[in-house]
Amino acid sequence: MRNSEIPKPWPEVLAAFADNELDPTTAAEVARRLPLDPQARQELADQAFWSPENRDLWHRLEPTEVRPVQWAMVWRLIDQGVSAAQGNVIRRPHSTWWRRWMFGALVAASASAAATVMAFCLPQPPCTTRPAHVNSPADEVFSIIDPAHVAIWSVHDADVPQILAGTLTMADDLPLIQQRNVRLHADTTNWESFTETNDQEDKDAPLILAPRVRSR
Amino acid sequence: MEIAAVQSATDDLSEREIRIRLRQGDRTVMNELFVRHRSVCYRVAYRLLGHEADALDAVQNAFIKVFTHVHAFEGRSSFKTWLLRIVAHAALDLGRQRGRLDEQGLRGGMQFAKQSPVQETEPGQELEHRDLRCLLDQALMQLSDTQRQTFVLHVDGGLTYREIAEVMNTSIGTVMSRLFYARRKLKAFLAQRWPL
Repeated sequence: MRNSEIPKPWPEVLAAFADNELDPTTAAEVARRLPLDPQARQELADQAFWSPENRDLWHRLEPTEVRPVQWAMVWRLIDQGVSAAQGNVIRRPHSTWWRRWMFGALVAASASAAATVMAFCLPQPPCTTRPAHVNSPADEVFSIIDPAHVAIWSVHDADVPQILAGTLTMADDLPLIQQRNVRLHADTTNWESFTETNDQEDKDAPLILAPRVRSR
Repeated sequence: MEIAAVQSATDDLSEREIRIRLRQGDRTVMNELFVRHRSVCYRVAYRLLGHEADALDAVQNAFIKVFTHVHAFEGRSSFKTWLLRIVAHAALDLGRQRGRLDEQGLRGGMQFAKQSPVQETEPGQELEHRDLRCLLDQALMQLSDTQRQTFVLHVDGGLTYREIAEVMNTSIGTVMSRLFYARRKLKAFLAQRWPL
């Protein structure tokens, strides 16, 4: 056999020959060449060793069998995953007190870190105790708190009954304001998304509007 | 018995009918397809990851993706071919995420293999098989992602060259070439470690 008659691409074609994947014409060409080429015969043997046709080898290499109970678990998770993706999502359980507390704690920790960074990085204005200027009814919501001392951090989830506020100082952590710390300005209660949370007896409490609990 | 009955139910359905019923969210068909194909999916995922729990996770992820993206299955290939493509991708993604293929893990396995000339010291056949599997896992990790994927889809997925070419969006010649050189690498890696 002349070089021009060598099936191409040689020797890669030996892999396909070992796997019976060649068309009859090319397979016949390879078969004619093999007796003339001992190196190709060795290569073919190596390729055939790793072929799926070597059932003994692959039987020995079978992975550990999965038990039925494991498959049942996998199917259950698949079923849940499909349900979730299709919109039949299992609704999040209603917030419990500890979940809310955890949320508040996380917010507090984040806010403390942010406040510390801000205290270092931002020039602090002189401390004033006068109420912030009210420009419009919308501003009233936030004008109740002295902005020089108190900050509101994240009112994202309105079913959290606590809201974070505090001073931008390095001395104290930012506390969570609870109902007893909060008093509502009667003039600013018309917003649907806010609720009245107040304690009229605690006159020193910061004035703040808390988000209304969403009805589900 | 149950599995056999389940399989026969989808055997009667054409690929087109299966596709339609999957799009309708038919859980019975989903379960039947899962039962029918889970073993081959697991073998492919296991061989790509070298880790049983991760392989099950990959199978789970792949089936969820298949059942929730069935609109992307146009029927140009067989369902099994399409499924194995997703399994292979899921396995490789998971492998990257969990770092199972990192050098440290590989070294650990190689040390084990070198310290355990199992053909001389371990009489139990099961142990021998396990060590051989371990060696193959390590050998497979020597291959590139594409070589490993090609090799595994062929020997464990049972796909033909043409089907692998479809799965990997390449030519049959490239599949042949990848298999050829993958086997050469496997032989070179195992030659010093196992008297095959």
